[in-house]
Amino acid sequence: MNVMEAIKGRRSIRQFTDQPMEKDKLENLLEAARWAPSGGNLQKWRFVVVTSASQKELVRQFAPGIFAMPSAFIVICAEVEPDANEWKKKLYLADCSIAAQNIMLAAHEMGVGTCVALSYAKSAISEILELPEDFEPMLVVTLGYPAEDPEPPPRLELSAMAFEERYGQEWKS
Amino acid sequence: MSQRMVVSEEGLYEVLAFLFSSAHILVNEPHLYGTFRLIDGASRLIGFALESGELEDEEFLGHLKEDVDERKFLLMTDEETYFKLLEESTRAMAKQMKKRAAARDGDS
Repeated sequence: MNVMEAIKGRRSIRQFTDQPMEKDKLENLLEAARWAPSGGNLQKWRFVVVTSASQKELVRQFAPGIFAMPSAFIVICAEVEPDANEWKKKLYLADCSIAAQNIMLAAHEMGVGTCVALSYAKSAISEILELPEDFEPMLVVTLGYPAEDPEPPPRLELSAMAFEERYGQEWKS
Repeated sequence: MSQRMVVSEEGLYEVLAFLFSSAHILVNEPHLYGTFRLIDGASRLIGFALESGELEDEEFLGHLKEDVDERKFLLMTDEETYFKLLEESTRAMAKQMKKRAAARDGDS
């Protein structure tokens, strides 16, 4: 599978089988995240992997946007400086998002389904994971072997979303 | 009509966690997500009640939950059908509660 095949073939998977995720696969995904780019190479992210039944249940209970129990969660956290300005806060989220995409593409290549979630109660997740005060859970990635094979959702045509030189000037293939 | 408790304490906590979390995150989520969290919460509550196996309206609530779970994700792709679900499920609830009230009045 080449990179473009992974990008186009990946789907958000929300139903998982009971098959547990192998630890070496989880470590490979962490490795994929580790090599993501970050602003100023700050690498302010930290990754908490949750696989135990009791921790997973707690995380899911405070994540209204997660509908089925996955085999694992990777909670991508950012070390947020107390006086971080808006720009920096956006940078943390951008960095964590890029790391999440690395995880999802690498997972897809190994036959593991993922979905990235933002609908969870940050305060509760921080409490459950015992995050230090200056860390914030930025994204939750659910992982497991897919129990569904969703159709690709529609995508805008390039001509509707890409422009040449200036906005509004149509991109011509 | 029964006055029994049909949700376990575990179920109660799960629903409460869902409600508190939803209230918390809805502050920043798109406003239509609020409607979604409400019917999703209703479906979860029905699920716990069904687990008790002691419901008088098991068939009605089972079907209602099935319908909600089947159509709720249309919020993302087909708002019109999703809005229909909200209207139809509310109407179905009203119809069922009318029936229950009539039965209750008949009992007394």
